[in-house]
Amino acid sequence: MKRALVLLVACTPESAPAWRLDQDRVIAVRAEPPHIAAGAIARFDALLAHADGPTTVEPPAFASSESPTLFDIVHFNIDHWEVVAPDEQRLAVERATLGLAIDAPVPLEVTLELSSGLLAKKIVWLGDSRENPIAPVVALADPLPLARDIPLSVAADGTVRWFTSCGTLRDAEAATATLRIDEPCTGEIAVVVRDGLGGVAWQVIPARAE
Amino acid sequence: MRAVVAPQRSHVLMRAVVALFVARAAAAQPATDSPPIPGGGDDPIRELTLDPGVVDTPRGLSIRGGAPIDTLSLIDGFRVPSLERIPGARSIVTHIGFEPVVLQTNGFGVEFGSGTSLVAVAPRRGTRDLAGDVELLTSGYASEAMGAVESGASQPYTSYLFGPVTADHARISVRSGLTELALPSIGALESMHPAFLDVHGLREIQYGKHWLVRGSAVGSFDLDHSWIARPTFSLAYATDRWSASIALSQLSVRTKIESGSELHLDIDETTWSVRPELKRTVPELAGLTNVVWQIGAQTDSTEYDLDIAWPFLPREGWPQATTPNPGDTSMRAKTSFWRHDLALWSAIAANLGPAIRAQIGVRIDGFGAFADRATYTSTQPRGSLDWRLRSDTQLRLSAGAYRRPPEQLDELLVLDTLHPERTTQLDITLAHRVHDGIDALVSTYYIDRSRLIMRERDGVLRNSGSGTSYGVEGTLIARREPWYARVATSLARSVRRDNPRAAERPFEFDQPFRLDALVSWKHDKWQLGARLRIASGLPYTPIVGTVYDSDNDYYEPLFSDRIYSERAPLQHRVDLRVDYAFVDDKRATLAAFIDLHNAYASRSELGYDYRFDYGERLPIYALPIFPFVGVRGTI
Repeated sequence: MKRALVLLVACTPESAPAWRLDQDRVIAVRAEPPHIAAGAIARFDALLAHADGPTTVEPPAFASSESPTLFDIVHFNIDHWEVVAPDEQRLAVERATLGLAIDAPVPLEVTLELSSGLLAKKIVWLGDSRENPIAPVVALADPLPLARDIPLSVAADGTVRWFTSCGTLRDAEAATATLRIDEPCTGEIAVVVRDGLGGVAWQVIPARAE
Repeated sequence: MRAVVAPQRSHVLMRAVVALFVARAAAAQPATDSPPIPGGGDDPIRELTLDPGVVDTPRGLSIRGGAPIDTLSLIDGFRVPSLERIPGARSIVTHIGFEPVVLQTNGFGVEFGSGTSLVAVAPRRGTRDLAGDVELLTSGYASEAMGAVESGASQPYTSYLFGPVTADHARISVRSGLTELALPSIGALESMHPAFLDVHGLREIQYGKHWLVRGSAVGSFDLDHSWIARPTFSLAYATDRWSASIALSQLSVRTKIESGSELHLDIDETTWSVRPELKRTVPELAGLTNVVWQIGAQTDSTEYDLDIAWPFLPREGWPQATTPNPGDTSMRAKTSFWRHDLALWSAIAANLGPAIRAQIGVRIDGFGAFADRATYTSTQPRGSLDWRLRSDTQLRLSAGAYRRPPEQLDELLVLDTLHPERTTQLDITLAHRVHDGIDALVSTYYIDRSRLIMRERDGVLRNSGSGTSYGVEGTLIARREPWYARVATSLARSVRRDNPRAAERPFEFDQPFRLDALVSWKHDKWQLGARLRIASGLPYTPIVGTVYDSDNDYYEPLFSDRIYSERAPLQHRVDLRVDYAFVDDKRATLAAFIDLHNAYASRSELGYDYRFDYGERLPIYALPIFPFVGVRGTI
């Protein structure tokens, strides 16, 4: 909203659109699984985009929580960071503190530091069980045709975000997007789906257009 | 003993009682002979930036180092939240529908509260027998059409109920935004400037020599289901020595904004106000002359109906992301409640000598009176001294205490824990006629602010802030036909402390230097104007990093701990305006103008926006060579 107000009397130069994949940033963070019952364990990984190379999937270099009562359940274990859900008694105390229903999952916000210095936040839900959605399946021709609209589509319950480092995208936040590549290129196309309950999945597909 | 108020002036006095701000327009403002103002877009509120104490900001007008919410906005003498449809953009005020805007940067009398400076408007009064005005205005991306009809009965007639009517004036004006018709394909810009309908009306009837009845209404309706409406009715009785009035007004404000599936602001605010006033004029009393004593009261009863799920709103000292986090509902409430405010005031003014006039008064505000909520009583003494040093030189000293109660949306949610903000102002103004046709005005001021409502690090609002603002302003106006020139400049500083132990930092809209020069030339049917603006850039808080919120797919900026520690570079621009009168006689007028903003496409950086992930800083520029074109006709 504020952006709109500023633009009304002023203008800013164009910047790279959000669907451009070749920029240093976090694309998505996954807790595996996103909901864990008492005593269960969740681990993290993140999909990272890079200005000078293909995407990577990396575990966090550091993880922590600012929760005053649950910060201690975020651990480093041998070679990775994880969250170990507390027992039911402790979860009941948390639910009472947060004013949640007796069987509601307890949100724990975890801040992750990734190897390139990028920061991300992810909520792990404690006290119930739920898996991430199934990774979306996208099949693309190889090579992709030039100067033609290429439909990209996934079936997903929740939100969808498309990214590309090759060509331009239209409707990048819809289940069906349109890719157009006008010049030969080699890169990647990525799609991230979120189920709205903390679950996330992605697929990265190499793309080549001639 | 000589009667100071001549009988024929009683009508003027009555009108002044009913609409104090209209009467002040003549007294407090510079002569209204100024030409059309280049760069104002024909918007009376944006044109106020010609005053050296007014800074135009993305959140509204900042006056003398105060936040936009420190400015009291009045329609027909009653408060409205804002006169701007969207802060920083075009206002709901038009030349065609309103009397000249009254701006008081150096405080005001005890008749008004809840602010430290004042911008007041009133619907325009019909003075012609039967006439109409039409105006079309376009800026390329947004267009407006305005029309007005007025009737001023010059012949007395007899009313069935109240007897002889000596004057009857009526005027109604309508304004409509035609954005979507003008540029249906422009997408984002279209949605930023929604279609709207404004209606302003006034009827004023004078019965005999003593009675005046006045009804007015101002409404602004956006087609996205937000509106503001302020109808007012008043009755006044006046003789040479006494005058009394009572005014009733209602304010309706509806705001509805939705963003994504979660964020929404749904606000209904309805205020009922009653304002009785009594004024006694005595030609001579205990050695004093022209003694005027006034007493008044006002009650405001407001019902709020709030349904909110939104991140914390941007406020001074609390920088916010340019787009809200779709998952952040830090400000969440669904509630309805009433609030009652009561104000009492009294003031006396008198000539202490042939060249000195003094006024002193006190205002007592009871915020939250008559309710089970917290009540705060504030006593605010104010006074002024006008001293005519020579026939061409006048000195004015004024000082006073002012209070602003918690009334912003985020403040309403924690009303019981907040106190009114306190401000004490001191102003010295010297007006001098340098030469025939050349006037100079110099002001210096000091403003102390305490108990400012700040959002602290833990996200809680507290009265922990303090600050000071001080500065010098100068204005030089020269008139020699066919030329008009005006130069205004200010040197100012405004600082804040977020809490008693915090370091001093600049105010969000601190602008240490401003220079505004206007020159206009009129000949026959042509009037040409140019305006140069040079000003310090505004402070901003640097962004030092980003945290990606994966669940909401949102990049959250991390602001530096050093709030407003950076400043945008010096800003400069030139605006040009050409007016041409095709027809200008007693029966009809037809004129057109082009108001060319930023005529030399200055690339001064006004501030900064950021890439969606805050990975790149993008300068914000004034729109280059941005024209407003208007046609105005009267029959």
